[in-house]
This record gives sequence, C-alpha cells and structure tokens, in this order.
Amino acid sequence: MDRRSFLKVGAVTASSGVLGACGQVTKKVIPFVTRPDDGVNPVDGYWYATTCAECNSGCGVIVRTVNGRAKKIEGNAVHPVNGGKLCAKGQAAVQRVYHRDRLTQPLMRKGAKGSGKFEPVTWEKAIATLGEKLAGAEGSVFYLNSGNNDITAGVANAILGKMSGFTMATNHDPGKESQFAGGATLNEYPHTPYPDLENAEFSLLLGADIFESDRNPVFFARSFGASRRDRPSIRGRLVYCGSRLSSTAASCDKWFPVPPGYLGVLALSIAHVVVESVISRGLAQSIQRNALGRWSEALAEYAPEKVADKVEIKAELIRRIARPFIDEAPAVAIAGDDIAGYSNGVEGLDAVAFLNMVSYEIGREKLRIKPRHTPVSDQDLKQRMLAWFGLAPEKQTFRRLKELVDAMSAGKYKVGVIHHTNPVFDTPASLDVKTALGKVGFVAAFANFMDETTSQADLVLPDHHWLESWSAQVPNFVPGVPVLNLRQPVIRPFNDTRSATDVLLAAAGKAGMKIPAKNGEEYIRKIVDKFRAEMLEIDPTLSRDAAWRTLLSKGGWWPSEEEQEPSETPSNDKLWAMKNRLKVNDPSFEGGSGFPYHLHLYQTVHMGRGAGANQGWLQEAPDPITTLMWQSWVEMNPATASKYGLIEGDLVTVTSPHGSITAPVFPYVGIRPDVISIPLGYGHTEYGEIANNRGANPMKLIGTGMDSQSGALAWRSCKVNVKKAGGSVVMLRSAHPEGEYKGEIFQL
Amino acid sequence: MKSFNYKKQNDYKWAMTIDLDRCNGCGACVVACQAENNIATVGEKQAELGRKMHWLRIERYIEGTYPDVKVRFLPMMCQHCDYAPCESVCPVWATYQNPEGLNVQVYNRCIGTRFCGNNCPYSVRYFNWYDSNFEGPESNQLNPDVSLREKGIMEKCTMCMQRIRRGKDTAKDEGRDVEDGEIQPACAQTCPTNAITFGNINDHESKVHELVHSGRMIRLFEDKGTHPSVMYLKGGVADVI
Repeated sequence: MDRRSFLKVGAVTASSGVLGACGQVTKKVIPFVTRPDDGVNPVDGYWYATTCAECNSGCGVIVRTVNGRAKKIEGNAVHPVNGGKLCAKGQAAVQRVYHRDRLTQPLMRKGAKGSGKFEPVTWEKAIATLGEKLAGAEGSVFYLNSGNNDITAGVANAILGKMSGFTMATNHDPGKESQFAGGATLNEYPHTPYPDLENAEFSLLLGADIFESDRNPVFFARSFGASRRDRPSIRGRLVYCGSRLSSTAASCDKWFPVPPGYLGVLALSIAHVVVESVISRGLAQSIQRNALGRWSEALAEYAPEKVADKVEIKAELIRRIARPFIDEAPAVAIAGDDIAGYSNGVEGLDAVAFLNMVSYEIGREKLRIKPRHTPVSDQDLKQRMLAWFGLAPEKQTFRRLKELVDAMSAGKYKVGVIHHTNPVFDTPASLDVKTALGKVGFVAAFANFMDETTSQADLVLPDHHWLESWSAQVPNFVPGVPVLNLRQPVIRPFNDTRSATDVLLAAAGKAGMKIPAKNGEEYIRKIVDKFRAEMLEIDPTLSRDAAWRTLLSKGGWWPSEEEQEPSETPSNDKLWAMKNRLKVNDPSFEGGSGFPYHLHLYQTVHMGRGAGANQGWLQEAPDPITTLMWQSWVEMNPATASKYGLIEGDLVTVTSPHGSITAPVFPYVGIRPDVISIPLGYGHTEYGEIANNRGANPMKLIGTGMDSQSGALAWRSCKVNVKKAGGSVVMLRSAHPEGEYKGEIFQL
Repeated sequence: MKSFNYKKQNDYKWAMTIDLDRCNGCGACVVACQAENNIATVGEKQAELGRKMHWLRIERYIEGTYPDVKVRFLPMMCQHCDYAPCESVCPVWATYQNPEGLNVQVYNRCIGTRFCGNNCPYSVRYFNWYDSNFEGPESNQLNPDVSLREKGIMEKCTMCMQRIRRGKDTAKDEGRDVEDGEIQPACAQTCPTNAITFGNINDHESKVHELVHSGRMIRLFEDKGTHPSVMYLKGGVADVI
C-alpha cells in the first residue's frame, strides 16, 4: 500500500466511524462553503403605498416596513408618473425619518427675534399660541409653502382664506417656474404639455436638464430609456444645446455649446428652416397657408446664415439639426432652464413651443404621430382636483414671492406660517428674506429639521415626516393624466411630532375659528367621499371603507388613459396668430465691464436646492459629472482656469454685483470658456452638522432680476468676475478626472 | 451535485446586463444599494483617503477637448467573475464561487488580509476600516435581511443575495421555478431608465439571455479571462444629426 492509498482508506474509515456514532446515515454531505450567503436572513415585511415628498414631482412609492420601522422605499409600479422607478433623493428618504437632527418637540423663541435661541414647550402651549396668534391677526396672515399643492395648503386656505388680506404664497423653484411661464403659449392655464420624449426619434434639448432639476427627473429618465432602446429598430437620438455639458447633456449624443441667452434664437432659426421646407415642399396641409406666409416673414431675420455667429453654430449645422423636425418627425424640442433663466426666457419658451407645433403638424400628416394624450385636455380635471382640496391654481413664480417679501418688509403681516420650505437659504440673498421675516409679527414654521428659515421663526412646530403623516397632493407637472396622490402613515411617528395639518386644525379650533374637519385624515376622506362619483375606476358598489382602502393601496387616484379622450394638440386660431410672438430679443445681463463671465447656477441630482444636504448618503454620493463628494465647487473651462493660474482645488473668489463667495476650482472641459458654473444646495449654515459649512451658497451672487413677461427669476442672467483667493483644498473626487480607467479601454 | 433544498445547481446562473445606451448616470442605483445593503457612509475625512464603501459606483469618463466633449457613464459593481481573481488569493476561503455563479464573501471567515481587493481588476471590493456608523436613531433604518459588517473585513456587491434567497424561497413554497423578472436587485429595481436587467441566464427565455445575445454585449477587461457575470451593452452612435 502506497501512502496515497493509505490516506484514502484512512479517511473512509474515519468518516464511517463518525457516521456510526451519530446513529443516522447522511447520504449527502453539504460542503460547508455553500452554506452562508453571508449574513442573509430574509424576513417578511409590510409594503404600504404612499407618495414621495422629497420634491414636488409626486412620484408614487411603496415602503417596506419591518417591526414598525421604515426600511426601504421603492417606486410604485402602477403609478403613472414614475412607474416603479425612483431617484437618489427618493431612495435616501428613510435616512431623514431616523435622522439624528430631527426636531423632536415644539420650540418657542427665547432670545431676540432671529437669534435662533429656543426653549422647548408643550404641544398644548404651542397649539394654543398658534391659535391665539391666528385669531388675532385678522387681515394680515401669510402661508408660504414649497408649491406642492398639498392638503395642508388646502386646510390653511379653508381656515384662513376667508380672512381679508390672507396671502397664499409659494416659494419659487428656478427649475420649475420657467415651465409655468412657458405654458402660456398653448393654453391659458399655468401648465406645460409634456414633451413626448418616449416616442420621439430625435430630441433636441435646449438647455433642458431634464434628469436633474426639471419637472420630473424620474419620468424623463424613463422616457429617455424607452426612446433609446425600447423600440426594436429605432434608437432615439438626442442633441443638447446649452452653455454647460450637464449630466443630462452627457447622456445625449452630441453637445453644442451655445452662448448663454441665445437658445431661443437658435430655436427660431431651426423653426425658420422648418417653415421654409413646409412652404417649398407643400407639407402639413393642416396649417393655414396664410399663417405660413406671416410666419415666414417674421422668421426671415432668423435665417441660419444670419444667426450663426450669435449662436456659434455653423449655418449648415443648424440646417442639419432642423432636418429631423421635417423628415423624421416625431421629433421634439425640449426647453429648459438655460432658455428660461434669462431676461428673454418666455420668448425662448414660445419659440420652442412654436417649433414643436409645426413639427407636430408635419408628423401628423405623415401619420407618424398618433394623437397623444396631452395634459392640455386634462386641465379641467386638474383644476377640479385642486378645487376639491380648496386650492386655486396659481403660477408659482418669483414675482409673487417677491411681492410677499416686500410686503413683509413693509410690516404688513402680523402672522406668517411657513411649511417645509427654506427661502432664507434658497432664494437670492439680495431678496433678503431673513430681514423681512424679522419684520413679521409672529412666524410659525412647520419643519422636520432646523434650517436657515426655521431658525428665524418664533414658534417651531416639528412636523411628521411624510412617511408618518396623512396628506394628499395634486402635482403640477404630470405626464398625461392628472394625478391625485395620497400619502398615508406607513409607520408610527418616531418622535413627539405632529402633523402640520392636524396642528393647524387644532390651533384654529382652539381659537374658535371654523374648521373644515377634525384632522387631516378626515379632511382627505371627506374629499374622497364627496368626489367619489368622479373616480370611475372605483367600483361604485364598494362600501365607504372598502373604497378608501382601494385608494390607499394604490397610492392615489388617476383616471386610466383609455378613459380619457386623447386630444389633438390644439390647432386653433391662437396658434396660427403667433406671428407677433416669433421674436426673441437679445438677453440683458446684470453686471458691467468688470464682470466678464456668465454665472451658470444649476441643481445637481443629489442636492437639488439644498434640502438633501443633511443626508450622508446624498453628500457621499458622487456628483455624476465632477464625481465630487462632501463639498461644493466652481466649474471653469481649463482655458479660463489657466488664465488665472488656477489648478484643481485652488480656492477662487467669485464676485458679482451682489456679493461674493469662495470655493475650490474644478476645471471641466464641458463648459464654455466665458461661463462659470456653481451647483446649488451647498453652503448651509444652520442645517445640522452634516450640511453646515460645506461649500458656498451661490445664491449670494445673484440678483432679483426677472423675466418681465412671466415674473420668473432670471437666475442665469448675472455676470461675475473671478480672482485667485490663495490656498487650496483637497478635492474629494470619486474618480480620476478621466475615469479610473481610460474610457477607450472599454470602447463603449 | 444537488444543494440543500434547492433545485439542482445549474438551474440558476444569475447574470446582469447594464445598458450603457440607457444609463444617464443619475446615481439612483448607488443610493438604492446603500439603503438595501446597510452600507455606511464614511464621512469626509475617510472619503478623502479613498475609503468610501459604495458597492456600486458610477465611473465617469470624459473624452475629447472643448467643444467636442463626450462624457460617458459606466455603473461598476462586483462583476461576479466565473474565474474570479479574488477567490484564488484568499488564504482562508472567505470568498468563493457559489453554485449559482455568484462570487460570495463569508464575512465571519474573513481575516482582512485585503489580498482579494488587491487582486480585483475592477476595484470593487471594499474594506471596513471602522465599524459602521449607524448610531442612535439611524440604526432603525437598517435592513434586517442584511448583516452589518464589522471593522477589519472585506465587503462587496452580493447582487442582493437576500432578494435572491427570498425569491427562491417563495418559488419553492409555491412549487415552481423563479420567474423571469421576479427577483430584482435594488439597483435594477430603481433604475429610472431601465438600464439594469437581472435574471437567470440559463433560462433561454429570460430577458437577460436575450440582451446578452443582442450583439451589443461586452465584458469589461475580457482579456483578463475573468468571465464576469455582469455584462454591458454598448451604445450605438452613428450619424446623430
């Protein structure tokens, strides 16, 4: 017997001994290494449908709860807005429920007004104080929220709306208010039709950062994916024009750097080429021929050859960009911040609407475009839904906010109620909301966290997180059918907080005012009871409770697509008479010769306007373009940076006519040499340990100039100067500037 | 060979495709992965030292010079190689190939030599330099399906093993195979552009099988011979305008 055979025999004998000792025969020995898929112990949980409130887009979500704690948020697959998908902010929302900085009890101001010194009070006292103040402030109350059209606003309106001099106001949202403005062309309501990216073969994004800050990033991302690869033989192509190669532009096939403020001119130039083709080739017979003549005349000065220098795209290229709008329609032009953020914003938005309309008529004639369900036709239903809540449709614009702040400064308001919005931080510092709030007699703030605005309040009322409370919402920008979103508590309140709706109702009730319901839940149920007849999807034979449960399990109510008549884009006289509107003036800029660079502020996918800054997950998630974490930065073209002898990480002071900030430089080739770009959302000072003193808030740099037609903030019309500040910081980049590996290796 | 309680091992071979033509780099998958797998944030100081722990990250490449610039995104996680370079160097067999084609890490066997991280060509293994920092109320958000990792061990993408196991358990209870699309890792579930597809590549009817054979499939660092289970679908850019 050799050694090997001996070992074999020995092993068999040994194992038989073990088996014998156990008294049972194991037929199969499981190798130990297949056992642990490590630390895995799948447990069941409960899933509840509700609505995300991290921004105002109104995505439906389902939340997994285990042992009464919210664990994971996912998209609600049946919801028409997001179809089961969710963005980074939505995914990170659980972190806000169990955040260490959450406000846990009502606070009353202790020191001087605006000092940020508070002492805890009981809920009874807080509610009594609020009621007392509201009752005693006849004619001088404002309610300011983020513009989310929720039930709390409805309740505030129901309680306070009867008072004379009550102001219902919304904070502005630079990325969204432009879209309210642009809607004016096609309908009278403050609403923009969704561009049908999903079915387009060619999409022209004119400064539209649709994956970052536009109307609904998740909806647009879904449409983008579908346009790219859902159709077997068609790959949707996208071209982006704008002064910065944003993360949206990065997903497009081609980027054209157009000078700031001239995208509207480019749109009209493309429209010129399209209209000339319609005339010469006799296309789109549905368009009135005399209207065509008028358009052609008005557009003559926008011939590609005449504007090529202005928009810095060769005439030949403009003609090529226009070709898909004629030959390949469905093609769509999508207008965004980089059109709307200038003094000629509305003119540019009109120009894009016009281009889309002509291209639509061409495609319709070629039977390439099916009449699609457009939101225009559903305006009536949306208006009615808002009316159910007790809300009037309103344009959420900067002008309205400025009027409110001016009135505050003039001492017009005795009481102000602020609901989950932070204007001190996210409006231009030159508006000086902070000082204005100091002149309001009594400010009550509903919030989850202490922030720059809440710290200015006299009474801080910790609200439930949206996972803990009842609410409902009619989002402003939904694709297709209007949506009534419901929010239900998926977990018990984690802290001693109370729902803002309930507190408002309790305070008003205590002060002897007439209240529409006992609490938020009852208010929503009353609405559902009253308008159930309109909700055709709900079986009319169901009992009241059963119908309610049906709605809750679905996450809200929306009519099915089939039920709504698909509508044609309105081919009415208003459109044919657009001659006068076919003009885009040159933009005007703030700052004279001492300010050579355009300031381009933008929202990143993680920070938005700053609400996400206190979440570790979002701070540590690398920005898609710069891959930076935990800090803010100033983007400059490498050519510009080298002019000042700046390299990555060098501190630079950016100065505008309104103020200056200092932040490190990030040289980026995807930005025009005459543009300086800074992300919003950084530079908090009173938003907790994670957010504070991280980067600089560029809102200090811009003024309060508006588009005179729409009243939207012209937030990109400011010019700045830069100066080396001396010193440098380490840039926390997740990747090497060219990627950790060179892209060519992968031949993507 | 049959594994305990499950169908014979070759019934499932998990694979993933990532469509680079759809990916818009939004980072929803990154946060979804953190939320699902109890991945800690490391904070500014540790991030500066390159110690952030995202199991899934998005590589960003910038090509060209102004104005002809092209930026590309590539989500990068453990590639679950069939011939994984990390496995052969582990002195304690803490990482191994499971019967369904996944590269798995046994946390309580790991002694923290970091040889595997060193040997991974994709840099997707992460070392716990400290205990995780879910302190105070923040521990309430932790997913009970997934253990917290301790200081001194390696961790990485598991393709949401807990979801795979739950999916298989459900299917077994109902006496059927796992259906295509039934199991979705957190990243694929949330991806707004539907860029990520997960499934059983042994099932020739599955979506992932179809995509892998679409002619657009590439594997990263194919020349290394690692044969990853994560495959990418190339974009197609011809005449744009």
